[in-house]
Amino acid sequence: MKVNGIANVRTCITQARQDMVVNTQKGLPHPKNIHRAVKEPLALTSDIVVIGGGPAGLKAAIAAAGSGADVMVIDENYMLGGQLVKQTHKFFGSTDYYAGTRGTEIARLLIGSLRQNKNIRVMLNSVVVGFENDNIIQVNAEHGERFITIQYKKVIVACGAGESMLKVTNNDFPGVYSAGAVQTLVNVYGANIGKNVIIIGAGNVGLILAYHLLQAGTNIAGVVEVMPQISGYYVHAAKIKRHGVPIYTSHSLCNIEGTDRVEKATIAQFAQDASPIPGTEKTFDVDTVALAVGLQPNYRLCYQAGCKFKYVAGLSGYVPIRNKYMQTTKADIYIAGDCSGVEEATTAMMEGEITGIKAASDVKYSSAGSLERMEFLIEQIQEFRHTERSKKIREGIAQVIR
Amino acid sequence: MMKSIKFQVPAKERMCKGAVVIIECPEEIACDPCGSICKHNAISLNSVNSVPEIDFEKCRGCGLCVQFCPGLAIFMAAYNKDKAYVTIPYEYLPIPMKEQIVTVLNRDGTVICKGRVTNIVNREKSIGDTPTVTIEVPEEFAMDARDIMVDRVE
Repeated sequence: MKVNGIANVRTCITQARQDMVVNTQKGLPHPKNIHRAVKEPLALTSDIVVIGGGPAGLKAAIAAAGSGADVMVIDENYMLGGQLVKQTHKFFGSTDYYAGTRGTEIARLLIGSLRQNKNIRVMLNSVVVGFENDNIIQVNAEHGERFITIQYKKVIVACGAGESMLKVTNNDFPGVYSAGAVQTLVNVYGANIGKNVIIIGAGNVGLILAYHLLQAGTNIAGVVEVMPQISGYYVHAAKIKRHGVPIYTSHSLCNIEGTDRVEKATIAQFAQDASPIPGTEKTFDVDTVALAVGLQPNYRLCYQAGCKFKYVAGLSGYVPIRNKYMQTTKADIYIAGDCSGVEEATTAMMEGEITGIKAASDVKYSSAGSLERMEFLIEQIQEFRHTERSKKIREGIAQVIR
Repeated sequence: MMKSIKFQVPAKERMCKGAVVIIECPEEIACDPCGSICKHNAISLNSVNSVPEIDFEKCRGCGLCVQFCPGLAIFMAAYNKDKAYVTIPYEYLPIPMKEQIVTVLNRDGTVICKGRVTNIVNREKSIGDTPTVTIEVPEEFAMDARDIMVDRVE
């Protein structure tokens, strides 16, 4: 979409403003009109730049600024909090680290303490497009209306993960959403997405989405999981099962039907070789298909910066090689949260805090006890990953840590 | 999957004395609020990853862990005469009213009986932001009643 003459704007995450002009974009933008839409470029500096204002980025910024560094947080959304703002359920974890607190409340607490710190500047509606030499990043700021370069001493990349798509006929129909999009619409915007929903994927994302939709009063035809067992937590599955939601394991989505939007979805039992077993098809009258079929770390920025990478299945994709302080092979670039390997919010926050303290200390800022706190967190995060369930994370990290 | 999993279940004699916790959290996950909220040391965890262990004799049935558990995996049960009283965490709207008759579901979401609401801890009073609902059901359903459906009044 085109907004105020700027092309390629993601209107789904752009807040409506007074006198905003929104047009459907046909084809590529015409360069002759661009100079009229954009403002004067700007060159800024900051000790530490944090890319992404989700759980990892917020914690990183608060920790770095708490050590005395001058910090700038950049986020593409119109508000901070990342995925926390749509997580209305209570989080697991340690009582010392927000356990029992709803994700929405954690976001409120983190944003509150960030706003109190005068060392932190926040740049919303802004996308970091790439790294230049000499520790400079380029930012498409202010909804793309201003080009900004920022010279940094250290940068913490906490840009999260992206949702995977499922290759199935008509997956471009209106009514097909990713799990995250459904949560944004329902939990953040308070919009009703549909009356009958089928959810594909019984990992924690799919199971939690089912719970959120039950709370919103939406009927759920089922949660469909291709694996023979539910991959999410027992307690998340138990919550939706006891409320009457069927979970179809060893099943997957075969087909989406409708004239110009989702009207029916067909699932079938899948054999071990991932092919549907004829005669096992079930068709549901649904208006919405929600895909919770996995996440992939957003690797592009670090890759463009020249960090060394490795593909690690246990971390869900391409991730930078790092040391225990989450420093990449480019000494001034640190990573935290899902972009370093898909995990969950508690470990993302811990990684954020570790990188915030470390990056600040590497530019000669530290506060009383901060380095001890960092070492404590490094131990704590290992304990968190000590479960049988976290085995693939542990083994994945072992492949990329130096 | 769910039927094969064994939980730590209190003896019937203990449940006859009053409400006692039943924790349906059989998997090692990094989570410890139940252990930290219990004032009577009835719930212990060796580490943040441990499955909680319950000392049913120490449990007073206060219900704080039911309200606090992020996984909504803690229930309470008590027997009195031929009735059972089951407390469940409940985060749906509408919250039923005391004395209201509700539909009772088991772990698989199958309707098993009707229940009478005998107590509510609303969200404001709940220590963990989760309301709890106590229902009276025929005694044979004490170990199956795990959720309710409230008819929406149009």
